Amino acid sequence: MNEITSKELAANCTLGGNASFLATVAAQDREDIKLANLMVQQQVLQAERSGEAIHWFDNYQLKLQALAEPVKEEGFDPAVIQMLAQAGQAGSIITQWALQSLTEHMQGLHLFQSSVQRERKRYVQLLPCVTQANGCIVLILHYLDVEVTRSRSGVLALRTKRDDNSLSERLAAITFDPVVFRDAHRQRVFLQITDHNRLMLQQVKLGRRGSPGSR
Amino acid sequence: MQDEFSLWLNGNSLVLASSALGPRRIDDLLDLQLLAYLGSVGEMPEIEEITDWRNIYQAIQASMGCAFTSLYSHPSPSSTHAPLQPLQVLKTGLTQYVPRLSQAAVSRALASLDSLDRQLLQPLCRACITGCQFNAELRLLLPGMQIIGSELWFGSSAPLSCQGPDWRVDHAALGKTSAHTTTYLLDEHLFDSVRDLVDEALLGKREQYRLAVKLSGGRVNE
Repeated sequence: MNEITSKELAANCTLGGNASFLATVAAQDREDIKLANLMVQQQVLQAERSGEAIHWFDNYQLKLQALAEPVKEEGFDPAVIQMLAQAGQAGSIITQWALQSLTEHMQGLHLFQSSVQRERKRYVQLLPCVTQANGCIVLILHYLDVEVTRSRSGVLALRTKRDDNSLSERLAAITFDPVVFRDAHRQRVFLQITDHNRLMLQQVKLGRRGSPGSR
Repeated sequence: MQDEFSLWLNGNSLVLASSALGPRRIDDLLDLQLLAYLGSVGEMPEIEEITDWRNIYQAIQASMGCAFTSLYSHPSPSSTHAPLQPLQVLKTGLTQYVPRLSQAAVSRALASLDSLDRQLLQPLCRACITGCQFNAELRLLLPGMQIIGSELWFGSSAPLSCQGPDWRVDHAALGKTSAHTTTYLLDEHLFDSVRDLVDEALLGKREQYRLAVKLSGGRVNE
């Protein structure tokens, strides 16, 4: 059911992460997921900046889960379970998908999420979205710690990071019911994003330069 | 092309706007760029690292509803020994990301830029050049609130001065160079929700930093 072809990739460079959608995810549902994802990313980034100890991924999962449905009794489709089980293994669908997304953004990666980078360490948050047979959408949260290096020729190189104390890759899946989101959360989410944006804009101080209109 | 696009000098950006957007949305998208540009200049008057400047530029646009973006860096335009042609680099950075349906019209619009009057470009150059640095964008506004911005930044060993469309910068004088394309998708509802703040911030700025350009044989932008 889920071909990797025909997907939409919506990257959010300023907040670090991208959501990608299989063709089976309806347009309005995509917009809702983007909106939910945007608010969650704004909140998680704000928490990160204010020094909250909770790990980015845990906080992200917690906040996104609050906008989604509890896992239904029937659980995930076998195909989704298989995707999750194989994650991280070479050749698995989810890993291919993640790497494809990263490759598409490799060249822009030095801009990607630099606002929370520490030295050369950066992370990438991927959110592939899959429609299940029951109509619910599964959001697969896929987190990667990466190291970015620059070769002599200036070409960026990327590898996933592993050390003894931290996982280089985290994965979770939650179900998202667009109808519930629209009824219960959408308006509040939109208002929170708006409030955040207004606050950001009010802090912008304009500069001056030689200008097209001045003669 | 004149029936399909209007041309604007807007901050440090040369903007081609599809007439299918309608005047109101063209104004919105011009305001979005102008506020992001002036805000970035305010936050970072002197550019030491263009990546930092672009982060600010994109973050301000995100605050106005451009949350979803795609980024593409290009090989350094100064990697060959040929002179750098800023307008051509900007055009190249744009064309490869134009949706197929718009390609023919955009190609015609871009071709017309080569014959722009040198004098006409002087105000844009003043916004793009700061001493020995050049920082400009060629921006395309398409229906569906799609934005494609091709950006070029470079340093020079000597102070730069305003030139025409055929401007060439000698390779020997070039310092750091960076070409980059960003595609944005503006959420109209999110933009409308901050419209009052945008108007407040740009009070008196549009007249100062925006200029409609008359294309030879084409219509005059209002």
